[in-house]
Amino acid sequence: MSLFRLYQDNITLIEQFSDYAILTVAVQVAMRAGLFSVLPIGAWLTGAYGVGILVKTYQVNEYLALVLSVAGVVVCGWVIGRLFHNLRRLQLALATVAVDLLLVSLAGDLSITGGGGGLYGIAANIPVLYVVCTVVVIMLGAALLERGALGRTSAVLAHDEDLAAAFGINVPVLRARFLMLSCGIGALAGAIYVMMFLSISPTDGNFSMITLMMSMAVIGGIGSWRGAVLGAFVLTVLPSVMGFVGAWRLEIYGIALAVVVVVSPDGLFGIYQRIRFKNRIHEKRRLGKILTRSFSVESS
Amino acid sequence: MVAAAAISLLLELCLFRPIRARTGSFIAAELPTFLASIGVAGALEAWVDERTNGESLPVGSRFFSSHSYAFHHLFNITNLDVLVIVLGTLGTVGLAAWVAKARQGRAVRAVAYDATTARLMGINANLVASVTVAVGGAMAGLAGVLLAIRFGSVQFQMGDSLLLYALVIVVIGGQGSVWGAAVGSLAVALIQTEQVSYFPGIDPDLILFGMVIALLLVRPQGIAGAQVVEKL
Repeated sequence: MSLFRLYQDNITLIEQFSDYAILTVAVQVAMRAGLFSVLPIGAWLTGAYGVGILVKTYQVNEYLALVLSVAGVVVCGWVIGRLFHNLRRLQLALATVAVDLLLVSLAGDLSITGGGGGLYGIAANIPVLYVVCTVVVIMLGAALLERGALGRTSAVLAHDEDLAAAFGINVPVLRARFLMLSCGIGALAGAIYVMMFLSISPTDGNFSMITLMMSMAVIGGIGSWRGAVLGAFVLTVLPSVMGFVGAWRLEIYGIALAVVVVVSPDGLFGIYQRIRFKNRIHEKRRLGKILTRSFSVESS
Repeated sequence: MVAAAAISLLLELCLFRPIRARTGSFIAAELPTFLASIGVAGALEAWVDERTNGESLPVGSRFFSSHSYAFHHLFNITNLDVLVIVLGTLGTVGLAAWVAKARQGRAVRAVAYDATTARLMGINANLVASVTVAVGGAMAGLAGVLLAIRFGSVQFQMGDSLLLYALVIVVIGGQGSVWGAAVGSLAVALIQTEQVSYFPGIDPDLILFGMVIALLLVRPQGIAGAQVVEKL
């Protein structure tokens, strides 16, 4: 009963967290493959506008609209991924920021997107259960990406592209695939956002949104999807739970980002991983000691 | 300017150096450093917002009384404009000369090219990084002061759009090139002011970011950036 009450009271928070979690996983999927890209935020905006326009102007069914806009963004993501094949690190970051801000100013200029005011009163609906299921599916998918041959391939890609090429990996195609995938997940988050909150405006995808998503991904840890979800959780749920933070929220965001980056460049999840690794080594040493002792007893 | 340099130096000592120590190299530290500085910038901005209640503060004209000079009825120029142009040019030329000619400037370029080798040649890479960050902070401080005097007021968000434009300029100008940055700033300023007369009704950001993407596709190293062979 009290659990139901908790759910009832925090329904908006749950929706917000779910959306940010999907979007942060989208950012993390690209970052894990060594692609510092903010394209997911542009994809998020495009996905949201896609559903908004299709539902509001063309009266398309909202789920069909979701599929259509995600598919459209995936195709664009592939094209952009191929176009940006020779951009690295900060250049790639800036090119993707430019794409995102181009989309923001385009959305503010066109009449079909409702100009600066954006689209509102969109007649769409999505049950929270579907949203939560989507989050779970995305998390499972991201977990699969980190396992097996594909996981190792993306790790090599992030570590050294020349090495990856020497292993026979088609680097430009794989990079484009990861960018496409992260765009698709971002567009999905955008489509779900507009179906939950029924409005979207150009400023929703501006530079502060980019900073927020980067903070979530980095504070959580870009090495794993678990870090991304953790970061989304920390930055969405904690500020609303901790009322005393109140006016100092933005200061704490900024300082927390800086502190986490300094203390642990692989984020909160990196701290957890290191503690677990240490424990495991400790455990092995303990076992090792027992083995040596028994061995020495036998030999003597 | 001194305060801005001091803050930058503090950041270098408290944030950037530990990040480099943890990640092991300048290149691997690029992204964490970028994010940490964005974090601190956001925190500082929020703090200033708090202290000023988001209002803009007037900058006193105690030090400068504004005069306007007309040149043959062609254009008017105030002494403030002259000051901004002169100091801006002096700053750029001075910085370019420092990087190109001075011993310290050469050390900066050496560290940027290959930090490990530079260290082996006896360059104190951490000292070079500190000096560079402090000089960068001082230049940014100078730009801030000039902007405040020119506009007559300061407001906590006035740096927001500039951060983006600065990044854009560095990339289109070419990383590591002072002249590239100068050309880039001129290009961005021209686009922002001239688009009204040539492409009225179009958001200047649309043109700017479109051109940035196009330039990065054609010439990823920027206008003045040299072709860098990263690995052979």
